[in-house]
This record gives sequence, C-alpha cells and structure tokens, in this order.
Amino acid sequence: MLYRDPAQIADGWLMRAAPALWLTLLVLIAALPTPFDQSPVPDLVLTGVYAACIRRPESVPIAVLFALGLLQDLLSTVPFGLHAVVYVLVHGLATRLPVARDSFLQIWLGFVPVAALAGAAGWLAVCLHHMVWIAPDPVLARSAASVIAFPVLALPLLWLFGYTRHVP
Amino acid sequence: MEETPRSIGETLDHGLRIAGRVLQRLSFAGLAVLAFGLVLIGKIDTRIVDGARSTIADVTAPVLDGLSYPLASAYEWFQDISTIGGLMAENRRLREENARLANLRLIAHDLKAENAGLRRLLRFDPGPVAKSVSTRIIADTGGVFARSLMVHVGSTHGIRKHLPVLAAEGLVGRVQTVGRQAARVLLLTDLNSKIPVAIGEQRRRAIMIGTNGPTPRLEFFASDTDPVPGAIVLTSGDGGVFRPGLPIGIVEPDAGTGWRVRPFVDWDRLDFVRIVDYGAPPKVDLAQGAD
Repeated sequence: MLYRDPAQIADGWLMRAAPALWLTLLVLIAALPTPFDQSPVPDLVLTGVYAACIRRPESVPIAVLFALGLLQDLLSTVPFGLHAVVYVLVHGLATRLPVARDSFLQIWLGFVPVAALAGAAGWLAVCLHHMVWIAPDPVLARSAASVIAFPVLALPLLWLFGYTRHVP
Repeated sequence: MEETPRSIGETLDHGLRIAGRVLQRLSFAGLAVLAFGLVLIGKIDTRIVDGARSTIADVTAPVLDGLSYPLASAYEWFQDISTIGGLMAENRRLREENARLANLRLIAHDLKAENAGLRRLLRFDPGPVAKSVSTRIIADTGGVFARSLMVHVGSTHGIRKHLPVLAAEGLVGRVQTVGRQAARVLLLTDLNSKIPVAIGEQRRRAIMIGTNGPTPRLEFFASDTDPVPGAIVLTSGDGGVFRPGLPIGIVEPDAGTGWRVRPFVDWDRLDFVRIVDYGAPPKVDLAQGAD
C-alpha cells in the first residue's frame, strides 16, 4: 500500500478548501463599511463566486456556495436565503457557460449574464419577500458597476484561485 | 449500426457518471428551491434566524473590528490628502460658521436660562438621565437589498433591542438584534423601518417608511394639508419605540406624488454612532417584520 506524507495530505486538503476559504474572507471584506454609501459599489463576493466557478469548479460545489450564501445572509439583514438563491443560480449558469477558461475577454463577457441573473434573482426574491415593488435602479447600477469593475476585481482572484490549484 | 459491447467495469463507470450528473442536477434544483423557500418563509418566524444572526455577529465582530481599523485609517488619510487643496476655502467657511455659531451660543444661553426658570416655576421633573454608549461602526451589513450596520457593543454593554441609535446630526435607526459583544442597527432608510414622526412646528403626525433608498417616504398623514417643503421632521414618540423630539431630517417633495424625508445624517461620513437608553423599555414595535 502506498502511504502519503501527512503534511502532503494536509496540503492537499488546504488547496482543495482554499477557494471556499477565500470566498469566506471576501464575504467579511465586503461587509466592511465604505464611504461610498450613495454610490453603486461592485459586488465583490459575486465576482469571487464567478471566478471560483470558472477557475476551480471542482472546489466550489453547489452546496458550498449555498452555505456561503447563508453565511452572508446571517451576517447581513437581507431576507434569509437571498444570497443562497443567488449563488446557487450563479453556479448553475457559470458552470454551463461556453467560455474558454484561458480567454479573459470571454470570461469577462460571460460575467455579463451572470451579473444580470444575480441582480434579477435577488431583486425578485426581495420583492416577493416583502410583497412590495422595489425600484430596480440600485440593483441595475450595482450589476453594471460589477461588470465594469470586473477586470480590476477578478484578475487577482482568478490568479489566486489558479495559484492555489491542487496538484495531486 | 452495431454497438460495441461494454465490459462490466465500463458499464459501472458509465452508470456512476450518469448517477453523478443526475445527483448534481437534483442538488441544483433542490438547493435552488430550498433557498427560495427560505426567502419566502423567512418572514413567518424570525426568532431562530435572529438568534443565529446574533451568534454570527458575536463571532465575526472581532475580525470585522480588526479589518475595519486599517480601512478607516486609509479613508481618513485619503480625505486629509484630498482636502489639502481646499484649506483656504475651508478656513474661510469655518470662520463664517464660527461667527454664526457664536451668535447662536448667545441665543442658546438666554433660552437655557429661560428654560431653567420655567422648569423651576412648574417644578418640572425631567425624568431619569439617559445613558448612552458611543461606538465605532465595524460593518455595513446592508447593501442594495437592506440598510443596516454592525457595532461592536452588545448586551454586556447594556445594549437592548429597539434602543435608538443617533449620530451627531440626528437619528440613524434602532437596534435590531443584540449579541453579547455586537449588535445590528436597522437604519431608518431600510425597507423594514416604519417610524411615527411629527412634522414642522404644528407637529403634524405621519409615518416615515424606509425604501432602501437615501430618502424615506412619508405616508399616513394625520391631517389633509400638505407638509411644507423644508419642514423639520422629528420622532413623534407615538408607539413608545422612540423618544419624542429626536431630529430625523427635512421634508422634500417627491418627484412623483408624495413626500420624502432627507435625513440629516451624512451616510458617507458615518463612522461613529451613539446608542441611547432613555430608561423605559419600548412598549410597542411598529416596525412590521423587523424584529
């Protein structure tokens, strides 16, 4: 029987868990107060989730993103389950997109429908939860800001997820 | 066309692959339905979710506190740098404001003396002295779908649910959930916020309802006459959640048909808040679905 070094096994586990750990850190960073309260701020966690689905789909199974969404919901005051809905749908779309994983332009273009879906799903869920019509302008502005800021936010994340890839 | 016969191993492998794909699809559909169901039934019983939110707030508060310090310092440094160019203009504005405030101080001094005299005359009992805790904001836990903040004080610091939260300019919101070491503040702009208010010198009653936008709207006016644009909006104290007279903002006409309130608080510069305990616990929670 072939025995592996415990340090090697731990390293493998850490590499496998790295994307989920980074995404958890992003959830905390996204909660930090900013002086741009009235301006549309790009969705850092959504960008991270998409980047992880593109670069490391095997390390971010749908259940992990579901749990991540619930964590973000508990950290905020949005309806419980809102981010879980969004990330499950994003996983469903991002892992099925016909995007060449080595073309940044295609990855960026692929983020457009993902940001639109995330904004629409979140907006619809909040409207149904409160049973009121909510102006969609801030959601559209945020989705647009996320797409525009994608190269700045996603490039380091794509590199990071690629760097922490598990090599058996 | 003749199909190539498969070995038992290949058949098993093929079957496992199909089963895996079906399981993944089922988990996708199942989790999507489960998450959507949580959103819809989340309004029915919020006690479990509130308890979990308090626990998460307690656990994450030290991390958020640590992370927010360097960020706050960086913003402060950036603001200092960006204001260097306008120091002359700022100095001139402050001189003018100082002259205006000196005049107001004299008026306030006279009013204070008059107020003290009237209180003595009426043997007025001002009631218990309010206790307050000032704290730094460690997280902006809202976003486009909710408006809330997290502060690093909790039940061990005497914080209770529903206590009003103030900034230097006026009302910010109220305490929504309390952990041992952290609390979450529901802002007056949140969709769940419904505050009874008094408008202008006539103290006309209305309800201020949050919209998740910067300006909450006014509804359910007690009388038919329209409010005056620019009139000051204060808490009315109706319902017992807020003490009467806490400043909120000014009335402005809505582009549509109604009226809105422009809060005094500058949300972009909100770093510290004060949580005030006026003694008596709130009697009624008017913020539907917020507790």
